[in-house]
Amino acid sequence: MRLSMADPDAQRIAADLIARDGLFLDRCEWDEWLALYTEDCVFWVPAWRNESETVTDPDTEVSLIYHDSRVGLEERVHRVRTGKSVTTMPMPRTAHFVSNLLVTSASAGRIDVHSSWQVAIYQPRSATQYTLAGRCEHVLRGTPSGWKIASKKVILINDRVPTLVDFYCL
Amino acid sequence: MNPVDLSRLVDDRPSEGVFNVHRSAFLDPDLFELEMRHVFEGTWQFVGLESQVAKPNDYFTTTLGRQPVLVSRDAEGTLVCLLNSCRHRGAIVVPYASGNAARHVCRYHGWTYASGGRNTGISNREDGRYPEAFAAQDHDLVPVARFANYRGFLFASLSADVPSIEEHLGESKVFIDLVADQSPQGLEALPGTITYTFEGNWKLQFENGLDFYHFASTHASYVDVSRKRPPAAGPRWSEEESADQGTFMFGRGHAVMWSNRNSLLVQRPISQDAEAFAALKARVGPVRAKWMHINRNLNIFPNMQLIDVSSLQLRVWKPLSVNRTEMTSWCLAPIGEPAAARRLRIRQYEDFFNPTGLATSDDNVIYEWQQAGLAAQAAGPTQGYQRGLGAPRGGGNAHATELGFRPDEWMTGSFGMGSETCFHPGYREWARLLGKGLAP
Repeated sequence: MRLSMADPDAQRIAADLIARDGLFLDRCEWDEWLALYTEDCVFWVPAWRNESETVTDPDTEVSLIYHDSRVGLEERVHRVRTGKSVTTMPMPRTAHFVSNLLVTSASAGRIDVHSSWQVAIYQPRSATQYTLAGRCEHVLRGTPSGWKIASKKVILINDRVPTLVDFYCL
Repeated sequence: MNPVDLSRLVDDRPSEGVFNVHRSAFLDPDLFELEMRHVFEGTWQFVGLESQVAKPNDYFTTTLGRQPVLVSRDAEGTLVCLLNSCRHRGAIVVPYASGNAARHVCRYHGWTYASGGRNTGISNREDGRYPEAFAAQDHDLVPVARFANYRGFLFASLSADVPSIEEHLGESKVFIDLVADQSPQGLEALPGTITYTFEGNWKLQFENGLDFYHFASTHASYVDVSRKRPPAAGPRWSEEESADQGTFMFGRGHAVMWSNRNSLLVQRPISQDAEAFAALKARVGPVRAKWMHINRNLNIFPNMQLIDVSSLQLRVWKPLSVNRTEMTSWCLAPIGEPAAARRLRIRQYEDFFNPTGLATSDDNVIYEWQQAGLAAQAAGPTQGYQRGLGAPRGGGNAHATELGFRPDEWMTGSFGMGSETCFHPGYREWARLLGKGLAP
């Protein structure tokens, strides 16, 4: 990974888009959230191969989540909207925190950005709460309708999943 | 209620149309201690796969009941299962989940062990002024009482008072074989082990793995999602099989729930590639190839489920407390599978079985609703063990006959049957083991 002084525009674009990524999830504004992603986006949460390495090839190794188009995200949103999943009875509350935003490369149509994140999740049903944490690698793409997320790779450090983890927890 | 009153815990009178499990079986912490000692530390447990320790000095660590163990292949290639506790002061000798090491060193005082468990060094032994008796003591890591390998599935027992693994598994071996025989090279567990917890008793998972009845209701949102996907196959796994659904019950707690329904209209990874499937069918024959397609949920009592549906899942539970359970899940695959089929297998596994997917997450929440609701002891017995109890029982049947075995009991019915009698063998074995452990 080559690190260079970040283009201030790239830094601003990335910070804005990644903040919206979390905010729309926290507000359950699903259409606005989906609109942040390109139709061919990759959404990837690799599983861990052992204590220190995640898997690297989603075609031969198991991931926690792997979608290679926005359809996978749309399905997850649809599942929530059916109102039939007990995982959302009631909907857990979330608060996304993102920091350490680092643009690792920027060009006319593409920005690669690393960040660290935590999501606090509160389950009103049982009054239980937990925090997920990790790193994130976003690839942003300039499109005629603005900057979009073309890829979101989430490294989840605490991967012993407490009951469930869904897209809104990451 | 006295936790050792077994006749009240499991009210087992099938000829009178009665089967009930007392709510305290899911709630009582004293009973949990007894079942850890007499069930999880008192009979064969699944501990892992031989493919996890394929090469000399490969190892993995796990627990047998509450006790830490190390499963290792020694330098000569022999598999061993040892208590993972230094003979000196008891510390964990191997802190990692898996790895490869010819030698294990206890980090506390530096006692060392070979990969087969033999003690190879006691630091500053000569200066230690040990009594004479010390030289006569065995300083090796302690092997568990019983350890066996059935077709790459490794089982261990802390109690020596168990039959051979073949006798323990009995006719349920037929259903392990239907998985193990999917490739001439055997099975592999794919990298990416998934672990999760739920706030509920382990028996809720044990029941759910054999529960066809819950699918349409619990997984209604998943069914809605799948209806929007382009169908890749018809609604029945096997056109040659006219029956819809059934169960097989075996001794020592094991059972199978099978169904010919392809609810998600997906392809089977083993027949995604026509050429590979033709070769499989030629090797195992049409009957076993058909059964490799039919949904088969196998419970090996008390801690393992093998679920062969849209993908192939192996899951194991570790009870943490009376109301908390840790699950470990692997995606299994026939070695040498074509790349496109392997990709399909992984995607369908993640979709259905992951706690980050669209189905298991609903099951986990339901267990928590059950755990919360079962606390209503004032409501008396539940009514969840009676589906199927009104049907004739026993004997052989055509499905078992074509597979060449004889189950203790079986059921066959329509897709709506969702028999609950397949939970009964597990509870009978549970009660038997508790009774044996508590006998004076």
